Amino acid sequence: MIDPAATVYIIDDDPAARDAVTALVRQMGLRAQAFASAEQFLETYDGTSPGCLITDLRMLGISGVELLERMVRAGTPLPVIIITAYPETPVTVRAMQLGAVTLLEKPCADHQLWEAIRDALERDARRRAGEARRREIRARIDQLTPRERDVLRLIVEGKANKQIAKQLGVSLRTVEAHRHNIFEKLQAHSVAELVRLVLETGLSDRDPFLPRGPTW
Amino acid sequence: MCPIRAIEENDPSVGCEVSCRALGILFAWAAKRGLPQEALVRETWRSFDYLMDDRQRITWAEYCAVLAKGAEVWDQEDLVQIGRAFVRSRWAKPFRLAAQILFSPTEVYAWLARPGTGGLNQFFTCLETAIRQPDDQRVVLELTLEGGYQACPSLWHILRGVLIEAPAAMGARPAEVAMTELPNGARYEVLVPSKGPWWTRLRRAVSRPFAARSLARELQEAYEELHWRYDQMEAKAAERKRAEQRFRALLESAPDAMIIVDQRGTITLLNSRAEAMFGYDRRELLGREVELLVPERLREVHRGHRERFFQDPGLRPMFTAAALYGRHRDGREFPIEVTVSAMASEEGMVAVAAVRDVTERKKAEEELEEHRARLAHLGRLHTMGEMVAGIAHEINQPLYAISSYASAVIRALESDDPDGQAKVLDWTRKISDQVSRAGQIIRRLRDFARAAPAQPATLNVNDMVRESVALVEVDARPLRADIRLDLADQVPPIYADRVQIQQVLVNLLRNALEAMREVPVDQRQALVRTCPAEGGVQVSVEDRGCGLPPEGPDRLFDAFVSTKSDGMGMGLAISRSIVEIHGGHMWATDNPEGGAIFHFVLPAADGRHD
Repeated sequence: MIDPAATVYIIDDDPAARDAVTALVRQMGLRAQAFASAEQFLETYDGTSPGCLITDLRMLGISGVELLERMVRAGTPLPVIIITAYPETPVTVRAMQLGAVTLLEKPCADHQLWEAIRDALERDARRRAGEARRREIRARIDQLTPRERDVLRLIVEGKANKQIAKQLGVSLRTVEAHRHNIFEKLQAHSVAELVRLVLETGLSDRDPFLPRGPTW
Repeated sequence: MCPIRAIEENDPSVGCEVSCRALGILFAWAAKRGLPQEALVRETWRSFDYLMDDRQRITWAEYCAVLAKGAEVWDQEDLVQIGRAFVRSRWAKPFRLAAQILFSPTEVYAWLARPGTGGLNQFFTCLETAIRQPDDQRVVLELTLEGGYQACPSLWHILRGVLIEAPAAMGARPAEVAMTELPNGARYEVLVPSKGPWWTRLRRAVSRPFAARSLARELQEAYEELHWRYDQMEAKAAERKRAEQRFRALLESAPDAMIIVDQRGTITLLNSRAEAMFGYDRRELLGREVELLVPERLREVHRGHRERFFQDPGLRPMFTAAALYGRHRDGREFPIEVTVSAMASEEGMVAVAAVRDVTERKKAEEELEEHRARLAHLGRLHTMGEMVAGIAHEINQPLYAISSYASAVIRALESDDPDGQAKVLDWTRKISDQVSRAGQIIRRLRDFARAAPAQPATLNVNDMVRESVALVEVDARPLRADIRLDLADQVPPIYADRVQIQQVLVNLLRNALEAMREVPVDQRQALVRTCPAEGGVQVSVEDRGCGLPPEGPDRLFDAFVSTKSDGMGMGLAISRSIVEIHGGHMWATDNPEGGAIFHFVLPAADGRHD
């Protein structure tokens, strides 16, 4: 399940700790890249590469919590494992709120770290797989004409062809033709599948990817 | 010792010796006027001899012995007393006469010519006649006296003095004089010798009464001057005696044990407090070396100090040496404080030492020091409590590295990694490094937390600053504060307890960091500066934080005053007490660039040793 291209990014301002964890992660058979500060990491990371991040909270320069805040603002989806020497409740709560995956206490056992990394990388891989699929579905949806999108929205709302025809003020035959094209373009074989595809992309009334329907 | 009363009462039994002494004084005076001393001595003895009756008569040898002895044992005070007694005694008159004969025969003339001397005028006429005879003439003089021959012997002596003894003393040929007793007086046959300078002088004096009178006046003045000088000397001696009595009384009334020591280190004077303090009797200590009162192990050192003191006593007119020990007669040692000052005396420079037994004070000081050290320790524990997050981070960092390397080692050994051995070797070395790093951190913390009594040692302030900055680094990191150092290359060493000075620095640094919590990150800069100051070294901790409270910095140093919500308010109070117990002082000023500066000065070690 782990992407072979996945990299474990390690931020620690302590050279010895940084070196040790990097060595361990590489020995686990994973790619590892180490940074002395959060700033350095933010400068280097492209925002999309697969992997996970291991960081301390207490560091010179930008602190762990601030790093998480920046990553959330920038929409960087990288899973974050926090390893800290002295977990203070307010800071850890804040870190978890900001989406940290795991919080470990220094020093941590090999298996704890391994599980945390594996968990994070799997989560990243899953997220990536889902994202790829969403992208694909979105590409299919993008092929629809504006009229077809209106029809699709009403299908997903559970309206019958007649109701759709009436609501859009077109003939039943026209609706059926649109419906055929929609099934064709989205490569769906049933209404249920069609609904699932739309829901997977998070398509809804508020979805910015779908043009809004008429306001009547 | 001086038989002054006997003289005043005209006791003839002591008259001889006293008169000899008196003559000694007279000689001294005469010698000043250029008269030949030995001749003088001999002449006075002769005059003296004539004037004594058989019972009191002493030989020339005895007379010389008495004088020689006198010169040896008499001090000036004796001489003054003798002289004073002499001019009052009945011996004065004949001796004055003897002296006058020696000084000039015309003085006899003057003396004899004074009114009220009665039959002596007659005698003088005889004498004058004898002298006025041409050379080598024999003259017969007849003297009729009221008291008959009985009044004659003293006149005979005088006549002999003038005509025989005095010329002989002056190197002239003496006259030949023979006396025959008559029922109502005496007859003198005088053979006047041939001319000589002395005779010329005598004749000239006798033939010129004015000159004789002026000489007589001169003698009178000399006599009065002598008299006056005796008075002066007596007054001076009395004043000196009073001063000495006052000095002794002062010495006795001093609250400390007072010991006066001369340049050879000999005790010359001490008061009864010194006797009591050291358990000796005064007589046992006078003339002994002062090191008797110092424990044996310190005697050589003390001797060195003493010699240096006398080499240049003006260099430090008064100084107090603490941390000294005295030695009681029973061998017991006790802590003393000594204040020494130099004093000029007749015997040269002496050292006046005021010694204070500080056993009680030392004990009280030690108790106070113990309380203070306990408080300081509590302060350190409190500080460590506040720093626990940072400390945990600091210790866990190497442990984390160790555990990670160890896991990597295990994984490398479990797998068939071809580079396994090289990696394992590298990591194991690194593990070992991290173990010693962790040990160092723990040691540093343990030292900081220990409750051991103060162990003063010679320290470099710059090292202290670096160690303390390492301790508070854990607090600086999360604040992203920067602690910069500006350490002078040459700072004098200080003599202090390492942990307590570290505590002061840690406290000031943490306060500086705390003060900068609310200011923008780029402004969070602390600066520690060291520089040599007058008599020691000054350390300043600057921050760019919220600054001193408007009511002034002084209240900050009071206990239980804190600007922090969770502060105990003891930090600065403890720090200040630590600095002060080390002989320094601490104060705060505004930082011109915003924020506050806390300064403290510690005295240089100044030759003290561990």
